[in-house]
Amino acid sequence: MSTGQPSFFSAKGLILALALLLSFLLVLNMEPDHNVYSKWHEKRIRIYYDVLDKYNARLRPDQRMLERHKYTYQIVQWISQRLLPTDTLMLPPAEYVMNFYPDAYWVDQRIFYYFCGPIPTVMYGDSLRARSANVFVLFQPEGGISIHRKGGRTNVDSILTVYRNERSNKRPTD
Amino acid sequence: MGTAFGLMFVIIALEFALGLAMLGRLGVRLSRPMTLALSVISGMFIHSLLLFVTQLANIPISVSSVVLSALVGVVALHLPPKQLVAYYADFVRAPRWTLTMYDVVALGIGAYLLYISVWATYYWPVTPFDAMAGIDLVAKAAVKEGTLNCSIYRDPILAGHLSNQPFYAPFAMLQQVITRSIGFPFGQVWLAVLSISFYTFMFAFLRERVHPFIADVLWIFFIMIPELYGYTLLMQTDFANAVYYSIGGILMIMAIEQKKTTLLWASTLFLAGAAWSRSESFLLIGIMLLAMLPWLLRTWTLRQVVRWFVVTGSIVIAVFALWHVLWFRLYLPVRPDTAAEVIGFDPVRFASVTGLMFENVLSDVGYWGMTFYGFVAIVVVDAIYTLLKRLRWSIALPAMWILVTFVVLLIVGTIFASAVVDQTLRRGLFKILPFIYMLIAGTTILQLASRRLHRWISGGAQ
Repeated sequence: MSTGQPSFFSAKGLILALALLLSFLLVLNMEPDHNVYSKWHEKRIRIYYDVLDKYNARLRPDQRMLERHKYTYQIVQWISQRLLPTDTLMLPPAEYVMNFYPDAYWVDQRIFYYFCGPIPTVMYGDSLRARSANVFVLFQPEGGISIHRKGGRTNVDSILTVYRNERSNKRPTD
Repeated sequence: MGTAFGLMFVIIALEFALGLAMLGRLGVRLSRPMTLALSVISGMFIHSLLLFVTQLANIPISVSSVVLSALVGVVALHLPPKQLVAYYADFVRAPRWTLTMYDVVALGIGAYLLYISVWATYYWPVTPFDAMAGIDLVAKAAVKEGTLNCSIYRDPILAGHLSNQPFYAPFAMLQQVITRSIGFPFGQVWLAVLSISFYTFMFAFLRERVHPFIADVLWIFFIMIPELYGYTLLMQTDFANAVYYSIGGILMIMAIEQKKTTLLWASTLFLAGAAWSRSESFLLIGIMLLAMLPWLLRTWTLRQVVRWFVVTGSIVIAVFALWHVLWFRLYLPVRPDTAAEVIGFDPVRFASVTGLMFENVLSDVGYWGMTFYGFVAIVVVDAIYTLLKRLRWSIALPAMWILVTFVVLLIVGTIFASAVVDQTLRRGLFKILPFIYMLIAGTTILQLASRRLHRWISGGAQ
């Protein structure tokens, strides 16, 4: 379709260039509350242009992990740093974790492995391997997190009861 | 990090050389931007295949094996070099400047939008659940251990919990292995290379179908499809698969329209890439090839079509089998239980999947912008306008790819328990988006507008 192409500089080319630019700006700014392109641009493009400098000042991989995965990264790091080589962690049910945080994808064994490497874990509800777990996680309503070992001061059965209640409350069919 | 960028430059150059040599061997002659983009995209596919072959030969994964696998491929494709010399001479001939001011504005807008995507692939760690539980879980361990047959598949911690993600078709995982090996902590920058190349291809391709100004407008709307854009920076198998599948389809349509066998063979290359980037694609490709038979037979002799059909089918199946049969059966200690996923065809479920697809996915402008509504509107108006005229191939062929792909997606959603409408099928729709823009560009209305624009710009009478 190169036939009939104007040269780079031409009055008609300029008119079309301005029309294109204005149309683009119009599409992004017209009725921003009801315009899907405007919303998309705000949430996916402009928001990052506004904070590029801030992000680009934090280039270390761990800083970027924290920027992206936020509390999830902090939680898995905190837990993994406190585990002993002989420990097997029981990953709590997502329903329990979501009482405290909006996302709980780290309780999937594969995701915990992805973040922390080959640390022995058992998913809550894994009836075959549940008994091998000796470390359990509890969250406090005020925002704290603690780990508890079998045989320690906290009765493990009470932790499992909390887990079970949360799951049965949120999953009536289970 | 400087070393990583330097090595990435070397990798892109080698992949470009691989792809260009392959296109040269196939005798594919397209515009320079299209050739450039297709060389990189096909080179990425060939490089990942070669890297996989080094694994079959038990050569450990390292920076050396990543670079040398591509280098050996480049050298092998140049033996003998005679045929390629003329091809390269054509490619490097002094470029003819055809861009205008509005093209520069369009490219500027495209660059403004895509910069964030490129930045995000470099900056952000891997985010999608499926990628962390599969593609990158394997890639990360494979780079650390020097083998794709890594501990993920045999670690007792994960035994029984792998699900199907670590067994996904290997293209994205191998690209992660390449970019992680050369020093990018989260890999992913390959996704930027693929998406920039793909959008470059679409920019050049749409200009060949309709007036460049209209092509610019369509191209910008194509970039601004929210969901598709999202997966230029979120690593999954779907975007890469859509790139290979749609280019394969577009090249096949161009081959039929222009009666060019070379383009037909080029489509084989990209369809093989589609089978390498997503597991169920080989079935979709098989059905699509059958759907294209009437047009293929009107363009070539039965003998030519059968030959192409058999060779293409064999290559696609071979690429699929390389990973899903050979690798799974001879190398990996565990295999996915695919049979358990198949729940058979149930008309009630099919109706439910179809309903959900329209209700939750297609009608949501948050995912697609105005693409589907605009598509329906322009096709309806166009159909009324051309009511008594014969359906042109420029409409019929992309329409066929859209329709068949859509129906097969619905069937996949019906028979596979793990294919979720709101996720699997939603991302599966990426495959039809390039055909939608191709079809819109070919409608009588836009062709008429295109001719009027040409006349207006060249100063002719209306």
